[in-house]
Amino acid sequence: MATLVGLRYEFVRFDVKPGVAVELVIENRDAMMHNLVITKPGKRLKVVMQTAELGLDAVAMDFVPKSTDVLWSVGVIKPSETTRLRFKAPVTPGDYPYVCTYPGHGFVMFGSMVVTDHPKPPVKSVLATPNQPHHHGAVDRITLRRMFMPDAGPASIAVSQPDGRSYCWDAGACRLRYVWAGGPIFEVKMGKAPKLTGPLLYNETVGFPLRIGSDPGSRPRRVRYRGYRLDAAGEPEFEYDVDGVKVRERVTMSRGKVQRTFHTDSRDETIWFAHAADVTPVAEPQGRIRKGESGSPSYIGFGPGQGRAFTIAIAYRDAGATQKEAGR
Amino acid sequence: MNLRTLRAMSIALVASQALPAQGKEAVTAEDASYRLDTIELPKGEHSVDAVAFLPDGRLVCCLSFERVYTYRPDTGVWHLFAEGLHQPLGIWPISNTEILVAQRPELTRISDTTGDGKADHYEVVSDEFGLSGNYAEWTFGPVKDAAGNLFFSLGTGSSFGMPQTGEVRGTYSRDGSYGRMNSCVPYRGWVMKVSPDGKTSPFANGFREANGLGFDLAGRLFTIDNQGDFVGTSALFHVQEGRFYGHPHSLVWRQGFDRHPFDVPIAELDAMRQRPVAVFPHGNMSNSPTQPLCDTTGGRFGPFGGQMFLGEMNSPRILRVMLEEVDGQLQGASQIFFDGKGLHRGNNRLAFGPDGKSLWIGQTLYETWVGESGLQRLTWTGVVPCEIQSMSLTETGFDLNFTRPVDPSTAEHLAAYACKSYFYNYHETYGSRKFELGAERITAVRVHDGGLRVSLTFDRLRAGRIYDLRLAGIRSADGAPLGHPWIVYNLNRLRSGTTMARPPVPTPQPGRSRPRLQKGGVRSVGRPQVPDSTAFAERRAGEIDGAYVRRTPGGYTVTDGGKVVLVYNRDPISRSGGDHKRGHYIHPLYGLDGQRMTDDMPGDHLHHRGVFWAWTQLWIGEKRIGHPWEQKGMIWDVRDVKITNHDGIAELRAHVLWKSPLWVNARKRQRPIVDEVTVIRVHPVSDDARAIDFEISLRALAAKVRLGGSMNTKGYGGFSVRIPLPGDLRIEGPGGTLAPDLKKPTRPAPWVDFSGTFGGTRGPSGLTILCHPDTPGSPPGWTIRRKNSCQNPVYPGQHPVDLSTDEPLVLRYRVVLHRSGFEATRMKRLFEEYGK
Repeated sequence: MATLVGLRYEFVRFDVKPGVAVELVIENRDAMMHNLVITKPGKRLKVVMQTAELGLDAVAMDFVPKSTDVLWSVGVIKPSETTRLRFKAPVTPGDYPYVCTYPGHGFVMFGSMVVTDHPKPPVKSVLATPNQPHHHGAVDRITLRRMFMPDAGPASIAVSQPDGRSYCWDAGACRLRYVWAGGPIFEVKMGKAPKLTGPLLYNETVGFPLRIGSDPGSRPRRVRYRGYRLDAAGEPEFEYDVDGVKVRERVTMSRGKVQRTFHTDSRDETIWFAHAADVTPVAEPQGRIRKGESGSPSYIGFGPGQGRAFTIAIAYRDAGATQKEAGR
Repeated sequence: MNLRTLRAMSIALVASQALPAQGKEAVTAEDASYRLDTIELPKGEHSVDAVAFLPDGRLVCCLSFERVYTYRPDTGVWHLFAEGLHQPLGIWPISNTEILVAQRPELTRISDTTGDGKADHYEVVSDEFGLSGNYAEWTFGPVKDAAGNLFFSLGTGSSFGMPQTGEVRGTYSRDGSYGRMNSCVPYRGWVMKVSPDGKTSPFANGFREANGLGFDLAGRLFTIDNQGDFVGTSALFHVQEGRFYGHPHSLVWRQGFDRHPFDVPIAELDAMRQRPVAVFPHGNMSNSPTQPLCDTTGGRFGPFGGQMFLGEMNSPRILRVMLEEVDGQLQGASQIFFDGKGLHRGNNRLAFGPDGKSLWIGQTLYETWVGESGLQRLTWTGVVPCEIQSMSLTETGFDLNFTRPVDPSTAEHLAAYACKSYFYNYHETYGSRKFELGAERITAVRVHDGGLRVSLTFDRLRAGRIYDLRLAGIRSADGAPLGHPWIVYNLNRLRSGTTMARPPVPTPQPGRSRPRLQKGGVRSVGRPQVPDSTAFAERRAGEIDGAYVRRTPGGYTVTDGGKVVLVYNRDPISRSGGDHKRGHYIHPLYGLDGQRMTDDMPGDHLHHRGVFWAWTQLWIGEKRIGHPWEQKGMIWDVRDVKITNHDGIAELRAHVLWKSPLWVNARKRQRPIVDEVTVIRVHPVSDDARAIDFEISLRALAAKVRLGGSMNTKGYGGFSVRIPLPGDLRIEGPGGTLAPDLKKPTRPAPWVDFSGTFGGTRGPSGLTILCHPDTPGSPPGWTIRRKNSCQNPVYPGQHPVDLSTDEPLVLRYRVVLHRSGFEATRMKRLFEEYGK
């Protein structure tokens, strides 16, 4: 088992027989720090949230909360280090999640240890296949393409995950515009904005979402788009400046939600994330919530220190997405 | 790089110079001097829109409007470097792992920071320009000068495209949106500069589509422009800071330029513009030249060092330009350099290989445009071609320098030379024909310098013309025919004694495209947010005293000291959800204290409209055409409004064609009936009064056009003002108070004054209508009304008059807005002044 660039474990699933002795060899091939926590079935998110409450003790505890829901864990693994974890598999069949509880990772970096009498070969993370040769129409990797897009500014960027979810990031407005259920757009005709390849899942309606400083109602004076970096899996991290604060933003879509991971170089400033009042984002760390008046945005504030790295997950209705919804 | 990548590469492996025997790289053609070969593109890729060389000798290309590949000429291996770009059209290499790319939304630095051969960092170098989503808004370049400044250029938008989503990046300018090719967002039609400190600034403007930039050996910057509106034929330009190059729409973004570019007379634009240094006759030489590339090979590519090569999109050609400085300015000759012989069309990008022996040519095929996809290479064999090396203007004619000595017996007789001259006109029409095309007389020919030079003497030379010279039968001393015997010299200036440039020949103005917008208008998001000419005009209007006219949405507004005097509504508008559409009239008109002096669409007569001029009867022979007075069956097609501001006087000159759905040709197209030119002149306030003059000239465009007032005895029709009707309204003429006559016009009066309390002002104010003594039928009878109607000096009345197709009918009226109430002596004096 390896950790890979792009907040991924090498396997999203591996199977073991009940009660057998298991040895996991975990090699951190990413440039970031990770850990691994195996939880009781269905307790992954709860453990992730418990980690968030550790506060200042978190680092000393390797981001592993003292919890009856945690079965086994390994502490923080630095880049290119390898750690082993030995344990006896549960006797009760079921799905035992494993997750990285390093701040911000728990929403996307996880997998499932399946305890079963009929084990199958492990399932590789489809995103963890870097540097594939180019194919037209390829959907087995993350694709990024700049193009005119519907309902967005003309300097738009379409990013598609291999799981058939895509988003539009607008380099003119310097923000995420929307998420849709569908793969890359290949049909690009002169003088026409292309059609989305599937129904809209999420549309960000509040405009540029970040605010710097004490007053979340005061929009930034200057937002400047800087570009993006691609990791080995081809996943972009967007870079921009907001009133002198450098921001990096990563967008990951999964079933039911879009997650945004922000890193900033802010020192003492509070960073606010604005969102429509009718969505309820899950923030990590939790931040300070300021509900907006009816019709105006609500805000989540990340105080000094917190604003350097935070994640926001916004839920949408996904598998149930229908053509009807697309027309909204 | 993993194994799979390698395998993919080996599939695309192409033989190169090192492996000619494998034959994948086909030698396409060979003449004695230049060998052409074709390099196979990676599988599935097409359209090469950038070619450049990295320091390690690899070629780097933009392919398929999206991806960047490198190519090793020694091994023939293609490698995908970057992808996901938005129609990139140029590369400037920085290092073996880092390049600059001009793509639609920005100038981007693309680098491989991990050393795996694949780009992972895409960094904005400049996105300080607008983008509307229009397909023609290309980004061309970049090139870098010796001081480290980068230059790129921004194509204008096409009226056949439109902002696609209702959202644009940067300021949206409605003024910039008019016309065939437009500049609705900042700096479309400009060449831009990025200085070494990273700051982007507009550098020079007036280009339609400056597809490709390049420097000459002296570090001078050049670009081309493509034949079209305001560009008579495609041409090469020497780009200098702050200068204007002829296509006016981009002027809306010029600092301090406070007029709508269309309001500037063509002669004035002509005086502002820089002439091209070389031209490419459309239809003969090139319909779409591309990137200029200076021969920096020092002779390794043949005998043309320091000259410029250009691609050609529509034909299988490479062009060559040779420039010289004449009377302080660059100008020179153009020629076809390589034509056919297996060369593709779509020649869009050029680069010399590291050894200098080869010219690499990227070829593109975009949508339905003429072109071909490919990558080809021209290599000099070392055999000097037999060509005109250069053409140079002398005091009395031209010198032709040859690459090889010519055989005097073929070159020393006059019959070997035929020269014509002509010029391309500067006008808004798409392209230009050859004006004043005629033969030039050559009086003497002299072969000297051992056959390397021929001097031609002309009986006259004229500046501002193109000299089209064809040579016939000339051979080199060893018998080789001249490769390209046709050469075109752009003679802007004579060696000495150039007189003033000839003004443009007036030509009919083509129909102008109005902005095509999404419903709901356009939203401007992001940078750059910069003032356009409207904003400059707005500021200026507030700063100056005296009348000042400027373009505003739907028409023109005259202000004085920042306060509105009147609005001329050019575009038809409806104030009742689509009914009673009216255009080409004035409303509102304001008095000296800001009180409104006109009504529009009053309840009693929905067709009444501010200050207007219309008739109830319009006849062509015995056919009655609609009811113009009531806006029925009548269209005022405002073709053009020219405005000028001088000495506190604002002038609008509207050219209008009267049309009707009831008067169409065999193809159901409306035919113009009357040609109207109306001049509205707004004077500054003097002696507590402001005069506004109207001069309406009507000329029939069909035979037997007649014009008349109402068919009953009232006979109303002509120049009319719908004033508000206050309770204390006094109506006075030279002979005293006038009473409304509901059956017929009043007794004749040269002027009538309407005074009272308008718009709640304190004390009386008024408006006087004067009919000029030269107006036919003057002094007129009047339709005057105290209630529910408008005021009108009647012309011609109940019985129609003929409109001539030669001599226009000219009607002149003056409206005087004054602050005081009626004073007989003052009105008399006003009229005497007007009569002068």
